Amino acid sequence: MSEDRKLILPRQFGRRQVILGAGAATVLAACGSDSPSGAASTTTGAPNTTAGGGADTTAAPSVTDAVTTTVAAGGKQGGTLRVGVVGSTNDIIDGQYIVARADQARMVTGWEPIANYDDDFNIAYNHGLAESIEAKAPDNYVVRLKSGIEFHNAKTLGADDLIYSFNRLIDPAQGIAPALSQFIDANSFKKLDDLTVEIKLLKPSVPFLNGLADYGANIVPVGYTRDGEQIGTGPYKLKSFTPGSESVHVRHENYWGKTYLDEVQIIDFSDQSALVNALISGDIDVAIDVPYAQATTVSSNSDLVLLESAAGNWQTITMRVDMAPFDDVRVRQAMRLIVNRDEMVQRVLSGHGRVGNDMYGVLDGSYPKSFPQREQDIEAAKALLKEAGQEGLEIELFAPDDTAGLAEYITAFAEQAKEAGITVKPTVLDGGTYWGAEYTKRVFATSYWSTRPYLNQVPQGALPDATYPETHWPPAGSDFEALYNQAIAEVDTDKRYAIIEQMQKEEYEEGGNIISYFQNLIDGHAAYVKGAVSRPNLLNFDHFGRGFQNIWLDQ
Amino acid sequence: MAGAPYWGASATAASSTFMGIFKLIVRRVLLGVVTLLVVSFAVFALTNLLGDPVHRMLGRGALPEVVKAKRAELGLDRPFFTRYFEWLKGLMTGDPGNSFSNGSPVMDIVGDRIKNSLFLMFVASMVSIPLSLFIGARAALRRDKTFDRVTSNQMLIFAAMPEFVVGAFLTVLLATNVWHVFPATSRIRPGQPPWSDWKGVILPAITLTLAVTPHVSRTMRAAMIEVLESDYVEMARLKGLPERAVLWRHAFPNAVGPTLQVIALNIAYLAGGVVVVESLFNYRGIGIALRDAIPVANAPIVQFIAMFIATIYVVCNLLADLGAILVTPRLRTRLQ
Amino acid sequence: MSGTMQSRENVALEIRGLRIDVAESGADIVDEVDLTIRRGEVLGLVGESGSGKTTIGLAVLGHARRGVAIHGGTVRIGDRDLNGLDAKELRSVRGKLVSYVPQDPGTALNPALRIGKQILEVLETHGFGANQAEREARVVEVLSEVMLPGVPEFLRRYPHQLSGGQQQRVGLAMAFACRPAVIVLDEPTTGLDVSTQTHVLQTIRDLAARHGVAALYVTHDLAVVATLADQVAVMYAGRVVEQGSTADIFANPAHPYTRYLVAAAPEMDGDRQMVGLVGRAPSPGKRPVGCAFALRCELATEECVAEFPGVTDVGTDRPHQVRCVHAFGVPDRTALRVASTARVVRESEVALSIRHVDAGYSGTNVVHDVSFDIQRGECVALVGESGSGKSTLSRSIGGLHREWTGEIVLDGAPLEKSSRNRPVAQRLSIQYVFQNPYSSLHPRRSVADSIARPLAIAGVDARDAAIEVDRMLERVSLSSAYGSRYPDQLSGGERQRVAIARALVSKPHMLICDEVTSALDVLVQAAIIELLVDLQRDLGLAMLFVTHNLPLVRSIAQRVAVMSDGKIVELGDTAETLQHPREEYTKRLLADTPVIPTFSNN
Repeated sequence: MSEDRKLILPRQFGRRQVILGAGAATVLAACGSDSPSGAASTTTGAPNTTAGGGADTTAAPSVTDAVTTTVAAGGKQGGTLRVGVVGSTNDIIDGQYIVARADQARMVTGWEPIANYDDDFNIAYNHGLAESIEAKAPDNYVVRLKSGIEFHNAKTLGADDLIYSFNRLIDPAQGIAPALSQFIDANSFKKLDDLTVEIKLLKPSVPFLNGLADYGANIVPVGYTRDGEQIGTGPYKLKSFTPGSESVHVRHENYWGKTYLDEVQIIDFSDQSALVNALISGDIDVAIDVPYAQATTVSSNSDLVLLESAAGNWQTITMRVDMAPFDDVRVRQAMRLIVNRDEMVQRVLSGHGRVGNDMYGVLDGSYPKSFPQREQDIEAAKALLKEAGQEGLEIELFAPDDTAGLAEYITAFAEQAKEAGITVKPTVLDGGTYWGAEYTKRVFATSYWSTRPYLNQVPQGALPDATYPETHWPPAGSDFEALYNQAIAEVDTDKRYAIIEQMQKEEYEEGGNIISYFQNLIDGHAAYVKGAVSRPNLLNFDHFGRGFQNIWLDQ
Repeated sequence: MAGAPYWGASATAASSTFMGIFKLIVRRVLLGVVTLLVVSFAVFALTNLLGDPVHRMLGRGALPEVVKAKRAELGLDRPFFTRYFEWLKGLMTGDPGNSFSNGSPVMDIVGDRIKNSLFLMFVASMVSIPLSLFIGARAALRRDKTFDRVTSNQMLIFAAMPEFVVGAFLTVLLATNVWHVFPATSRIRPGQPPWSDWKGVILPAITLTLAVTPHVSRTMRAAMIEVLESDYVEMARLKGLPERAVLWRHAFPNAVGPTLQVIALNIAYLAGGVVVVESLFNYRGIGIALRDAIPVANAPIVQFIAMFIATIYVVCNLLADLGAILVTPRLRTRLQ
Repeated sequence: MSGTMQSRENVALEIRGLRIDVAESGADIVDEVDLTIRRGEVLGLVGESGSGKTTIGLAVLGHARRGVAIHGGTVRIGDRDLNGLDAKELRSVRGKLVSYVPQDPGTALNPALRIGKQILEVLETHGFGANQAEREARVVEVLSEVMLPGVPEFLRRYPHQLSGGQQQRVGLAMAFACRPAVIVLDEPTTGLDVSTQTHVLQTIRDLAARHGVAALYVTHDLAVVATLADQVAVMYAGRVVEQGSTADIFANPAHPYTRYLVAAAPEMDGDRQMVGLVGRAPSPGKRPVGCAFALRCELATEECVAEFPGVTDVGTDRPHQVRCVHAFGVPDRTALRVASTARVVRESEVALSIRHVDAGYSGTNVVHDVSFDIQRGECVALVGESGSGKSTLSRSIGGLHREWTGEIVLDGAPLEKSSRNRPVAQRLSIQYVFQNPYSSLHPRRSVADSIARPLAIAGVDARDAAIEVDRMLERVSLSSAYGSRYPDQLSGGERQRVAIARALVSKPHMLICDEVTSALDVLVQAAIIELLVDLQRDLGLAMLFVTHNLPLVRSIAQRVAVMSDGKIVELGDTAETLQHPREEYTKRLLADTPVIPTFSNN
């Protein structure tokens, strides 16, 4: 949803990084289920995906290469894939830094991180450049790269490239991932041999490992710059790029994995309906991000396939726990009881999403599936409000106009609030104003997030020094921060999960987020385009077919 | 007498007319430049109200130092008038600056797009102007008959429908649902001329044509009706001239003059109309570039395109005035 | 109308039983029209506007305007009946066998084509001559026939670069280019200055005679007909009610309507009042079964109403046909030969004094040092050709034109330049009546509202104003029922009466009438002049009567000021000046003004 906006905030490790998984020192071998046959169906309805991450049972910090099957044998070789995506003249191309969805599509064709997530959101290496990552301690990791991997310019991947890449990520001049710099600096890296690097963190952090699997934490060759030659290790190398127009990517002949297509063209569209029209009329083979309203148009067309994947993106109504009237926990609880979450999924997402439970990190293994699903309970809400002396409450609720869904969300909420006898005045502000100086200062507002593991999300918005203290959680005197510090240093998954559950419990009972739903990713493609699978995912079109290496044309 | 086409213009009259027109052009061009200067200030001031491009680019997590450095890099830390005059100087010397979002020179981004948009406008004009003159003239001739009634109703309908409705309808009809005759979207490859994807220009051109044809044809119809009822057209018939000569020699030229102004306004309107139509068909012109640039407050691009559209307006009006003078002897001879 | 065998051979145009209808309703515009013109002869077709004379003129070329259809009858030129020709054959006849000279050459010449081309294309279309060179030579020749230079510089001009007279000569050249047998001239001199008119008429007469062309001359101007035509046909409400030789028609009019026309014609050397006739001819579809003129005719009897009288030849030695059962009856009013009553100035108090007035446009003076007085109860006529400065002067007095210097004093008080700066009382006491009654009245305001408006400005309350409006309507001979009507429901004469009523309601001391009758038919014009004479006499108004029509002056003004090139060249008693002009210019003007000659009663 968020990328629907023309204006997309820069991707940073802080704000927009999408990191998922069990994220312990332990990185599990993933059970590959990448084959089309094993994939979930590509039906039109919302995939019946269970919210929650994969199981993580291995406690020992051992690292195993992922066992991977890529695409089932029989994929046809050759052809050009035309991918349509909403993009603009502001588009950029970079191995690590991107802004918009079109940039995402381009980045994954040419660059790869050292690790990735498997279908259960555990760390894996089937699409990563590392052979293994060994966690020696919560603040000490050894990365061993696969040997014989070549960049597009035939240079061999080595330890220096990894060090250069991570230094570039934390370089404030690049402005890419300033948040990462609290864990590493230029002295954190030690080259053990040509393929091995030891990373010493500035402070212990188990979630750091998740950072390595982020789709933006890519490896670029030593000396890489935005303005220089666009060189990576990914399945396709950039041939040409015109912002707002198109990019052409040709097969990386010495790619370490398997590829089918000769060429991928990523074509910019200024308008989502033009994008869908282009797909229907056969001008493109794949349409990235189909608007809800047009999902049926695609699914009802026998020549096309609608690819809908569960994702963890969430939108929230934020209540400041430190300000009246929400400094009274009963008022916060009442608000959470007012929401009819099923209605929200229908109204805001046209059914293309799953009901939320005021908790985030839905794809993470630590997601609290055992917490009872909160339902609308107007009577209980009224009682709480009465107790708090807030029956007849009147309050203004803000949303920006640049994020699809939020305006509908607050409008629907205002209507539901009426049933509880309180008056919520929905106010939509222009995006510039909304995200300006007043952002995080408003008592009652909205926000949106892509998904990341619980412990990676907490410092974003739920600590006293959080980057975006939208709810100003935790309340004064809470043990929440102490629990967090314990958790990030705890390498034992079970123990860590136990601490996390305690934190989640506090947020579930007293927190300031009203999370009604998680959004699905919807793409469309021609029936002859094969290899994209519907499964819980971070990026559109099955993670862009992992840089389109999984995609082939059945023509 | 023989051999001397004495009803043609003489050399001396022609040259004095030419001098008159030349003087007129110089005067009008100067006026146009003054207009554009005023517009430039308005454009620059208004684009400054689009918002803070740095904030929009770096987002909510940007470090203050980075913001400051970026502002300095884009030159936004300097006073308004300094920036205005530098921008103006750049415009006049052919350097409209660099895009805020990716630092590329504005011309690199919009250069091809201007060509594409001009081509689209050209195609739409080349179709709509003759078409609407023909429809208007024929409707006037067949006043209150079937052709007139049908076209008048149709034109009214098209005039009432916004471009995006017409465009969406055409897409469904000719590209996606009913017939697959034309591509739903255009795709001009970078560096290629706009006609390289000639199929892709058809639907946007038809949409624009339908947007302007009603106005021009209605004006033409009215002008033609007036002319057809004029004494000199009756006189031409009473002289026994064949109907073709009556229409094309006597009526048509006199009806085109008053219609020229409307044609010019409509061509200028096309420059604005492309903004909607281009998005609809993903036609890579200035319209899409403008749509891309405004939300991120990419002022150099917005400014350049706004100035381009303003220039089109000025040039179209200039050409219309000149055209009206050239086809109207009463105005033309006044210049001698 | 049947003549001898020999005269039949000379017949160039013969119209029999022509009927032309409104296409949609089938109502007749003209009916039962029989006309014959011989070679070299000019037939004057006379009638009020709406009488169908132009429709007949066009039918002679087989042409009917939009919404009009030629229903029946024959239009025979030589041996061809135009009514039986298809479109292509008609085109081959038009411009070649029969041609047309339009009323307003300014609008009938194509503004976008050079005049050489416009003449040449007639020749090209009809394949005149053996080759292009002959055609080009003919262009030069025919231009010289109409006394225009056939030089390239002239041929290259556009219509707007010619004077009105030159434009009309080009129209004549176009008409005569192919040496047609018949030529239709539709009021070709309307809008031309008298001297230009005289020269154009002379040219027409010469050409028709020299080339043996039969000319149908359509006009409302009796004086022109009297000087030009051999035969005259008088039309009323779509019928030819009288025709005969010019001398018979003028000396011995048989139809009462013709008598009225003659009586309404201003007379320059006589000393009688013009006689007008109110009402208007019924329009197509509203015409009675009987004589259409019966409604206005003093002599009308029951038999007139019962049936339209047939054609009677009342001629003695030559045909003189009339459709009236009271032929040669004399309506009382036409018999009035009263001396113009507005002769004596009762008071000798100066109402308006003009002192050394210069006026102009953006620095160019068109009025030079004009000085004269107008007494109370006196009408001064200001005459001159177009461009003489008479309108600028009168508009300066009225406060409608601001660029003037000098002094204009009304009732002892000097006038500000713009009426806006004049005190209300002064503004009301000087009133202006405009030439065009169609544009001078507010189309969305009822007659009563229009008349009451000056009263409202003066602060008169509504009830008193209503009474005053009725009084004014009566004063201009309109019933009070007119108060609720709107301008588009009125005829031109009625509108001009309303305009006069509006001017009078504020009890002015000074009335400026700017060509107030030039858009009106003769009978209506005469009626308006009658009204103005009465008003001036009864109210003791001072009046400035601006006109280009010299004969009118005799009927209304005590004194006449002749203006030329912005100067008053002669100012004196009307009768004296018209009969014994002192100045050369006045003499020439008088000589050029067509008057109805005295036809002996045979």
